[in-house]
Amino acid sequence: MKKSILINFACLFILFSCFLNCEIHAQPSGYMGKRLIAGYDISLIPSLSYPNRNLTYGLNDIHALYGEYILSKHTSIKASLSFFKTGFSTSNDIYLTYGEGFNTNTYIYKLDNNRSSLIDSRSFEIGPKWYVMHMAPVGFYWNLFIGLRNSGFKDNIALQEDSRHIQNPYDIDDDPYYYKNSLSFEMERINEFIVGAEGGIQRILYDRIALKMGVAFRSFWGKGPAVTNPLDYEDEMKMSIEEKLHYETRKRLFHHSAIAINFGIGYLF
Amino acid sequence: MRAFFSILLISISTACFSQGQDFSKHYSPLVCKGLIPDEFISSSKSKYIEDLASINKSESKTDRKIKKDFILESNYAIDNVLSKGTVLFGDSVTNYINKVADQLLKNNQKLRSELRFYTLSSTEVNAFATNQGIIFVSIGLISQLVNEAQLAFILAHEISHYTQKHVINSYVKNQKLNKDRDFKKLNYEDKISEIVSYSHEHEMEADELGLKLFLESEYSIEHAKSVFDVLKYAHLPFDEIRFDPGYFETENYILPARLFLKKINEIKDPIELDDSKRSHPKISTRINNLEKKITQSKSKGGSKEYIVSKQEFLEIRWISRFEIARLQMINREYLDAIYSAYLILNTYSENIFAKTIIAKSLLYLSYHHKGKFDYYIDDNNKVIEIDIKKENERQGEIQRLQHLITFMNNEEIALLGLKQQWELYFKHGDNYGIKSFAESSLENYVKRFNRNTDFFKSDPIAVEEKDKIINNSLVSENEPSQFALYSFVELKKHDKFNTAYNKTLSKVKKEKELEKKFKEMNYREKFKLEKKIAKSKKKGYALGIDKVMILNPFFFSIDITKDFRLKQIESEKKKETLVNRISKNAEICDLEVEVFDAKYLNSDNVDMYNEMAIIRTWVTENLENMKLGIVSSESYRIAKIAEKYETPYLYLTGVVYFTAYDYSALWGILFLQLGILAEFKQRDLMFITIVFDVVQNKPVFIDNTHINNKDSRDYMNLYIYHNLNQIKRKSRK
Repeated sequence: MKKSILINFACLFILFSCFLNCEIHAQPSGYMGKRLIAGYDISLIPSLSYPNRNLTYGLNDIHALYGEYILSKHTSIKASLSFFKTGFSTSNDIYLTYGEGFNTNTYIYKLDNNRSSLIDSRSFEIGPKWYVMHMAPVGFYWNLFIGLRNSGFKDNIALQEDSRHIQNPYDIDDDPYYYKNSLSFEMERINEFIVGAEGGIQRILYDRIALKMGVAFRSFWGKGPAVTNPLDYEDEMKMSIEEKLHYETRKRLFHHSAIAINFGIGYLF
Repeated sequence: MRAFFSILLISISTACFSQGQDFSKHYSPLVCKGLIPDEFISSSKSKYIEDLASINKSESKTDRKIKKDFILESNYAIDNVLSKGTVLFGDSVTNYINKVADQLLKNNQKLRSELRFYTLSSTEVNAFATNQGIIFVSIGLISQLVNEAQLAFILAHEISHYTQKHVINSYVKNQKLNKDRDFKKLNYEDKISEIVSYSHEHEMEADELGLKLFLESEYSIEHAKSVFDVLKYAHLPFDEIRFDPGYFETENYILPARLFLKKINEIKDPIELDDSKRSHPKISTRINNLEKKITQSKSKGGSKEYIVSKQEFLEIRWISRFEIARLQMINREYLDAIYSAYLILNTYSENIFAKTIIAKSLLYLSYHHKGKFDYYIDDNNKVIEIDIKKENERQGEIQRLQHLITFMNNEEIALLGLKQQWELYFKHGDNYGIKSFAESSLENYVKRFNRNTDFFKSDPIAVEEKDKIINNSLVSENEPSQFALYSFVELKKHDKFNTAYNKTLSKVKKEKELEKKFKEMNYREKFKLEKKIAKSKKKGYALGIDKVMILNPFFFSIDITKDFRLKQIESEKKKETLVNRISKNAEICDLEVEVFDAKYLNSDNVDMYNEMAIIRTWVTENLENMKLGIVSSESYRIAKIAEKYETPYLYLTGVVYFTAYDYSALWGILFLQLGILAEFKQRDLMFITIVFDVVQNKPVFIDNTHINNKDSRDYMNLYIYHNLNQIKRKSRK
């Protein structure tokens, strides 16, 4: 994990903590004396291009386990651990060009997706939650949070086999099906800093079950994945492929910002 | 010999079981006795359903609907009266009324079994019957009656209202009139006379049938006829005896001559108002009609003035008179209360209860000044008076009292009140809570007028000074006159008074020093203090209370679109849920609660019913007095309840829930597109909670929360628990 991200995270966490400390009052009531909620959250991120679910409209889903502790009449602190998985690509092929220019052969590569790679991510978020109209934990709320996300390719050797030269439109003498299978891409896991906000409503059923619904916005800060150590191809080609992969991976991770619809169910202790 | 012993035995047992009181020194306010009647504790809904069966199915649909509405509204309205604690049962007055009713209906046991008679704790001179067969007779009426036959006549009249079903028939008639097209075209005056003419018919009919019923009994009509005079002069006190302001004078406290009214307005024969706008016909018309009917009647009735007992009648009339004085004080009719107590003292000159009423009423008067009126307190804590009853509107001897009070300024009245209270305390000890009353009124006096003991004369009044005082004609609004400075001469001889005075002075001095300190604070310090207060407010209360008494929680579900109509059945159901939720949340909080509510009592729990009535009276009186920082007149009774239940904390809570249907055009169109008829509700929920310390006489917790939401389980529990938690939790400091 990069130092700068950690420092940023630590600074913001300290800032939040100071703020929360001001908000903590003596003996909050909670809901009938219960102040702790533990539960499960699902965030649905609408996506038309890259769904990880084979649905008509395409949805990506993030699963989270969360805990919420009521600190005062209107404030609570919420922390969550979330898990996310998506395919690298399912419909669009990625074309890579190499050697463009006069008197130079232009090679176009296609990253075949017959065997798709998986991007997985884990994140941790923490932040205060304010119940604006009523008291915690019932009614409309705002949740500001910061967090860290760690993501990467689960199958990092898939590209090596799927990359091939498919076309050379300018040089007729050359063999048009020149395969170059020796490419190797190893994607390192990346860490990103998250800042986000959520607004929604929470109600309690049967004095124990917390149901919530909300809309969340997240922004991710950090560099994209780096492709390392290609063994036997030119530097120029390597750069091109890296850029493409970088772009595609970022795209899969929602262009570093995302709007999600959240549904949650929790239990009051 | 055997006969002698049996008579002796009977007389002893009668004495033992009699509820009679010795009025020479004390009086115990009326309380209910025996088992609580079912109708006090059963749910209004069950009575409503039961009464629905009485509607005849052969009647028209409109009639049935109107009657259904009537049964609903009347059942809930009567239950509201029954559950307040102002209706008495099993007490000596109610028992007596029942005995008279037994005599009246001796030959009609079936009708007797349908009827229930109760006493209503009210100063109004009134009796009324309900469609359900309950007949209420007010304490005010009993206090003014001359004999038992008069009571029997009134009961016979009310019984006729019941047998002829006048109440429900009037309602049906009025409702039908309101829907009638021709009636709608009439102007206001004509509408009233149309309605009233029907009411007059009922009254005349009740007089006629009542007379018939009365003549069947052994009571003498000659003795009963004078009841119309009682009704005619119902606005006057129960007796007319010369009031002498000299009653307040002592050797060292002489009232100036200007306070003695020389001439009073004579009591005039009341000019009877035009009855075309009143529910009852003119009394003269009724008397004439009655005379005619008596002449026409074959039966001339009995000859007895008393059948039950003359002694019992006189006793319950005295009880009613004591009650009247007490109720007048609670209702803030202070002049009337003082005069009633004065009338009692004319017979029972050593009665401490009556003396206490005078002393307490004088103190209240020093705040409220000049008799019965309404007032409000403005933002600067100034009492603003409204509608003061003018001196010349009163008749009879009470004018002398009114003159005395009118020509004394507030401080002089307060000093007179203080003098009376402390004298009572020294003479009779701590009866009827007079000690705490005297101490708190002394403190209030020092705070209000900022006087110390040096201001008052300590030596007995000199002869030449006495003449000066008598001839004193100075009236100042701000300074007390010379005579008032002698109020404490006798009191100062008592160490108890001096100690209390010095203690009060030092307490007030400390408070003033704090005030001064706050005023002298610079901006920064003030800001810090305000911030600290704001922070502690945000944190909420932490009272550390282990037990509370809960008085009758309420839930009013009101439909705004239907003229703020109370949804009776829904309100009752939700009130039950509210009480259950309070109990459940209190259990979680580990807060012990004692619920005082007629609907949650067992029939043998009459003590709790009485206590509920006392608490309710205290609350009604105290909500006004609290603003002025003065003790309630019922404080001595509620202190006993606090001691019994081991908590001085009284928890008052309730919810008002407003609903309105909103057919918004925009949303309507939107949803009609989808083929759905949308119906939206606007909801407002108001939680009101107050916790009183009934011994210290101050509120310790006030919360008024307004929510734009439905009264769903989670919101209700959230707020109920939050309030209870603040009461229970202990401050960390």
